[in-house]
Amino acid sequence: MDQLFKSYYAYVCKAVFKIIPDTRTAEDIAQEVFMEIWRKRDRFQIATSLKAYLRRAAVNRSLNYIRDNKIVIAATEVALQLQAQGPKAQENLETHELQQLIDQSIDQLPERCRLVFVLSRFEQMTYKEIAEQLGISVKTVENQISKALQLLRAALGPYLGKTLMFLFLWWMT
Amino acid sequence: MDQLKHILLYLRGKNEELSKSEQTALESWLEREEHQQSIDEADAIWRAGGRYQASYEPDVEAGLQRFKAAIQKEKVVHQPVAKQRRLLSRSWSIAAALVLALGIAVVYKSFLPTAPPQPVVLENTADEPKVFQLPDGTLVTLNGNSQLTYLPDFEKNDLREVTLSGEGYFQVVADPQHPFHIHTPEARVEVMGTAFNLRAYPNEVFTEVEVEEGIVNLMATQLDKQMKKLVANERATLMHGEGLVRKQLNTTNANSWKTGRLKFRKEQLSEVINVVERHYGVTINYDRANLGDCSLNTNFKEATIEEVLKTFEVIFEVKTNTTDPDTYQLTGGGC
Repeated sequence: MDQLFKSYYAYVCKAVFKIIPDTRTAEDIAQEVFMEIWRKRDRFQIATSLKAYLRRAAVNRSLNYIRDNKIVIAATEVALQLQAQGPKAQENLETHELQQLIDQSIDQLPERCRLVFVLSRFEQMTYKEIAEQLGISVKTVENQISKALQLLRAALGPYLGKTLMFLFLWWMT
Repeated sequence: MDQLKHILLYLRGKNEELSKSEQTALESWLEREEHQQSIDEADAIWRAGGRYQASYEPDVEAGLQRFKAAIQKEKVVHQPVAKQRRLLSRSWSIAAALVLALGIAVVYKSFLPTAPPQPVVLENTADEPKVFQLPDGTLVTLNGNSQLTYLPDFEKNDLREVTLSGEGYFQVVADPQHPFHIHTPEARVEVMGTAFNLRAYPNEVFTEVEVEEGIVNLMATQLDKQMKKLVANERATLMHGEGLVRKQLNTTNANSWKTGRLKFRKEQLSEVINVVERHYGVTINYDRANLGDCSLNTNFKEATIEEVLKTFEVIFEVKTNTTDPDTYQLTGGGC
């Protein structure tokens, strides 16, 4: 169990953190995920991979947390102007710089927009599922996704031109 | 606009199956080369987004310590020993044996003819709330007629254990390796580090916890030993001998005796009146069917009961009469 915890605790924390960007809550929820496994240790079975199971558990708990606590996800409608930042937009970004830029750009999305994007992009949830989980309309989900795309295009666009190929290759590996 | 619509459709298709007609519409739209380009661009953003990482590193070692502490607690609380032995793997058996040995040591020690340490008693007999700091740094605000007891060195034990009679508002210092337990005659409250209000007066028929932040476990020790987990803005009321009820709150007011403030965010008037009755120690009679579901959105700061009732009069157009001292009647009105 210790080994399992050491191997995957950070992974679970980060999965939660993507949805609820609060380290304390992320860690509380991660603790619960492992506690649940410990409780079920004698009859613990997973159909898929352990990692997939942990991720699922983390996401479900996070969404329940949002629902149960009626966390109001600020729907800031201010058109946040994300701008291409960092080392002047002259191509050849180092891998880690690009990574930083991507993280930053998504972190800076309005919270509801960010959450909807993350759920769609990482959790493969359909628009309908996202709408139900967050108690918003499918229309709103669509709006948030397109807002995310537009803001990210503004922030990342200048780099993507040259790095598109690179990203594509990266994706294929 | 048309372009955006199709891009969204395309992205939607990544997570769910599109209908035949949507599929066809998308394909025919994609026949134009510039359309294909905008899809490529959206795809590039989508792929870039896939590299998003949460930019924080949790402290795994601290997490593991906290987890172990939670497991210890869980074992002691929930698992009958005989059943445990059958289920546990070797390493867990060793851990269980250690716990057992420790338990025996503690019991043995308590039989030794040494003078038991005298508990520390913190008491507030005044009307005004009083703040105390415990050796571990935890702040406890005690309401009138309330008492908190703990053993010297309590912060050095595996569990930080205290006993409460009356009402207190706790701001517990986080220490994952030493969970904080509060015993009352009917219940036990377990926390890591958090802020909450606990009410357990001996002359009342209920025990109540209202959580402001963090996670709090409440166990009905005299009943079914059921444990309820509470998160921020939740209240659990244990009716002695009956059971535990948990309720979601829009706002927490349990510590109003400490702050002198009442805040209501779109709160039902029935709940508002509950809180007001308690805060001022009065009884308010009203027509539940007519007024109970009205919603109130307001703050009171160090207000008198008369000022509060005046507010009800203005907002809900009720009339207030008082018959006995401390008993009020609301008539008429509505929302």
